[in-house]
Amino acid sequence: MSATLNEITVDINGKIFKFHENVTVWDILNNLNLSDNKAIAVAVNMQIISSNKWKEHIISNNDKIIIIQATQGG
Amino acid sequence: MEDKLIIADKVFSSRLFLGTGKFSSGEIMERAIIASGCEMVTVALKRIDINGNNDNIMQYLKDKPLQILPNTSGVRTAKEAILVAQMAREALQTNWIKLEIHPDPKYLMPDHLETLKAAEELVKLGFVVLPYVHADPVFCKQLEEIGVAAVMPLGSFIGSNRGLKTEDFLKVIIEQSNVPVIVDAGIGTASHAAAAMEYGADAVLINTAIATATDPISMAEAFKLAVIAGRKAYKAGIAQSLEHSMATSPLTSFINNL
Repeated sequence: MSATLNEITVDINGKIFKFHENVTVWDILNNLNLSDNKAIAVAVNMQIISSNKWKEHIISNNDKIIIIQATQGG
Repeated sequence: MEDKLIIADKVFSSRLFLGTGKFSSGEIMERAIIASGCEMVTVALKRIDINGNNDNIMQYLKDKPLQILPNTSGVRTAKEAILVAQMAREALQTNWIKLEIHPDPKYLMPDHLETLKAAEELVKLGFVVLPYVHADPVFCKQLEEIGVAAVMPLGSFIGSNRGLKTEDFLKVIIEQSNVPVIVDAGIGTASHAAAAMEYGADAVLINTAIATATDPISMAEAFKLAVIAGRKAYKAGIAQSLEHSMATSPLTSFINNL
């Protein structure tokens, strides 16, 4: 099936990744071993994608994804 | 009656808040937090390193009776601040946000135009907004009017340890504010914190002074005591300051005839 899908380019935290089209946020997080991490948040093109939308939100070619977590700070 | 601090709907027994930056290890940070007795700590947000190891600060903070106060450090505009606040709410399960917009990395001066825009929007979105601001009494009142939960005026440059360089303006803010005033930035040692509390500040936020002390755990305790002492002195009604002597012993001239 994947052979029939086109490849898309996605920027994740400033790094370029390639996925098949129709990939969801959850697919990408799963691919990065982050899908079970509850302490992260995801934005696509400067719009937050809540975790309950990860499985339905489809990523498009040239989307910019930001994934954040907490760190030390004052 | 106990002297509690209320911010939004939350009651704090401790008037000392800690930032979690600059500690040499998570373990030392954790011990300093415990020694300080604080009930609210700030955290920052960062982009996950896709390939690297991501230290997890939350492992040291969870399971403690701490309000987590994520900050928006790193943003340059109101739009970015709003997105970061939404992401913080998602990742950390809190609607509390320390709103800080300081685009210039050398002086880290808060941008009040963007701060006001972001604060208005975040209040509408249901956030408990604690903005980091200059010690500007007029701006603090404007923020209060739009519904922020507290104001966080600076004592001096972030991380500078220079103390309360804005003293005169902090006093005006404290006099006029109807929301809690948390003196943030620049407090370098315990006596600065005590002074801020003696002016009537509701709380202080300390990071660098504790995290970069030779012994952060002892320093955390020193700040705990200073904040308690300063608050107690303020509540006790500080005695009048005079420009001349006023004898504390009777001036009986009983040796005149010797």
